[in-house]
Amino acid sequence: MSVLVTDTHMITSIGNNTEDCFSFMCDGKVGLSPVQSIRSSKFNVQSLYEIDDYFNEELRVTALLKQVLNEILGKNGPFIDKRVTLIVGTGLKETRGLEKWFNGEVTLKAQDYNFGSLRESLPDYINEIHVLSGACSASLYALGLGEDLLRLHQTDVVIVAGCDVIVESMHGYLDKAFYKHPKNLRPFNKDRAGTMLGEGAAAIILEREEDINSHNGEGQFVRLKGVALNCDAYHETAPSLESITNCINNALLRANVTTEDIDLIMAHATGTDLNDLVEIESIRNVYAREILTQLPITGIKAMTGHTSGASGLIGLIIGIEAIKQSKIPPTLFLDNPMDEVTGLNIPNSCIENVNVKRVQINAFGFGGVNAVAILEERGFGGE
Amino acid sequence: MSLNNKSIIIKDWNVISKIGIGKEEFRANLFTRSKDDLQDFNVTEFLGKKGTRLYDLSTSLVTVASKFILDSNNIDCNETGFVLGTSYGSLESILEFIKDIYTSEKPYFVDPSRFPNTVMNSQASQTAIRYGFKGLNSTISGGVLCGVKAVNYAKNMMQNEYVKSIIVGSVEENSKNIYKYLQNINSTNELNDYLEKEEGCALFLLDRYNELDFESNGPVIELVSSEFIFSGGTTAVDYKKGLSICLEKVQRELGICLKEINLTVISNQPDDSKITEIEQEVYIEHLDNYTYFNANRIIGNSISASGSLQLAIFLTGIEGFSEYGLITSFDKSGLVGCLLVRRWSK
Repeated sequence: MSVLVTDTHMITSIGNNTEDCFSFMCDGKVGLSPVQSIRSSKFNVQSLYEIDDYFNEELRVTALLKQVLNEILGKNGPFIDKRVTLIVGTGLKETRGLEKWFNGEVTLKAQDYNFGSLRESLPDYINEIHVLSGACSASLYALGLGEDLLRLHQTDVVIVAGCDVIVESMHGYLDKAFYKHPKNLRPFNKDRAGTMLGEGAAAIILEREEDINSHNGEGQFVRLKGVALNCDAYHETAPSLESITNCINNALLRANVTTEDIDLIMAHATGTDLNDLVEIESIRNVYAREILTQLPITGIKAMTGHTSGASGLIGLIIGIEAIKQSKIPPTLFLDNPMDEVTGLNIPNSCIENVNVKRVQINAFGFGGVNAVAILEERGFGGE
Repeated sequence: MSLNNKSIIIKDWNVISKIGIGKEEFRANLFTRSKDDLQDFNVTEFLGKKGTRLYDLSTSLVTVASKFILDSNNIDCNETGFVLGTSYGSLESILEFIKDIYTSEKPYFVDPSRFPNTVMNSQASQTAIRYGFKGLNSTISGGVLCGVKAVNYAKNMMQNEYVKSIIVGSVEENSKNIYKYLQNINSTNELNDYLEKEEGCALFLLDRYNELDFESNGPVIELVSSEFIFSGGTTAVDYKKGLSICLEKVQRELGICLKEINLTVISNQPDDSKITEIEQEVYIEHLDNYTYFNANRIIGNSISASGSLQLAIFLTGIEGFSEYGLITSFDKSGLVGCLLVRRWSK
């Protein structure tokens, strides 16, 4: 049984749909701007990767989530005679709303914190809604749950979504933790100064391949080959090399592919000292040196910022577009690469006309929650 | 239907609630005693001082309940996942941190060591860190239904062979200190309804069935099925419709007639509510040999802990409970969920 991704949609600081985001990423557009949704003047770092909209919304991330869902459901729905499940992965839920409530700016119902108003804004044909809080790997954890529900025939269509916006408490923590106060996000550079928050919302549709044979979409859809999930059980914020290595190996195993089959790695690449080091080290643990001289590894957060719980799904969608459009967006600003990436193929400009059939997508979160997904071009391999 | 090596079973369970700390006390006090709350619950009594200084109440309940399970089972933690249902994580920790952001001279004068408690998955990840659970680690949000959802999620993960075993359950804390913020906040708020709640935690060890289980553990509890449905609205009538559809789905899925089995329904609705009345109509229509147990008097409005506490009540196996247990949940957004378990005796 195979699972296909049949459509995608996303909103980030650089674009309002998948096509724009991917195209702007390939052009190296950066979504960094003076932040407006929080009290920016009170922080050291005052520019972040903010979506330039929804400022009048009391519950901003809820509004953003509703927007991506409306778009993707409007295009694909209604799903007649099918069981439809929505799974949302998020790091911070409506924490920004809670902050504004605390500060006397908005009223808040208890259920608003868990996107309680989502239900009434969605069509009735969505039978189930699940919300997973899993820090920065949340949306890939949601992807794993979606794949399971389809494999076990517990549902027929799964909408997986991921969303997060800039919140003062998280930004305050980072502003304290990264004493170098980054001017921009610079993954894999020697002088990377830490991560910076970005905003994003993304949604995809998953269906069983056997159920959509009547579609005329051969070649358009991308197959989800497998998702691996694990936990470091090591430290709240610092990653574990051994555990991430295990997660990548397990993803390849679950997808029934080898390292030689992979054409692109969408790295988590947050621009922190530790993540970037451990991520590269874990990739080196799994992939042979001769493969790594060729295999493109890229991370997009220099353009979008760290979109927290949405970042895994955004990476996945970029992987899908890379397969479809034969292009790989750059790891922007890689002009002072750290020693550990010497000899690796990390592009600092867009690669065009490249044959991408299989992609590995990484997402790692606070609490040591790791998720790695493998995608494959449809019409290639299969089960 | 028979047990086989693909059947997912509840190998053990444990609980911390106002009526009992640990399953023996919980079972013994099910009909007799009621404490006020767990505010004086002292995690160091069970885990010592090491590593517990920054635990909030939710984390304390979850780590101690996990210890109870670990103490009486031989678990390979490297191959064990942890799945937890919670609505807020620790709202108190989150608000403490937010308070610092808004009241410090500069918002970045926060204490970074307190940050991990504010991340919504902190209870699950801190438990994994304490005991070394290296399998998948998930936090399922979503109010009243999240206990049942977490069990369903963990069962799927077991069936798809992510891990050998999973500890799953849900937790709720009643953060009384939040009142002090509410008094200081000059804004209308509707979070008060959230504060009128009970606290507690129940956890379950999921495993695959092995014939030896009967020898070592007595009756075997199988996770049979779970269903969720959007009822279309939030009234008692919607609940009736949603619950009916859930039961029909369970029946279809299993290929059994619910009227032919002996079943105990564990519900959790306020006694005098219209919903209690209307759910009886559904049971009368769909079931023949059933007993009804409303857990509300025992676990009250325990929000995210309620599904797992209802299941814990069934697992006490007190006299009068049937072979099958049906846990039902209904939340304010109109979602209905149910979970069917079966007690196999040799």
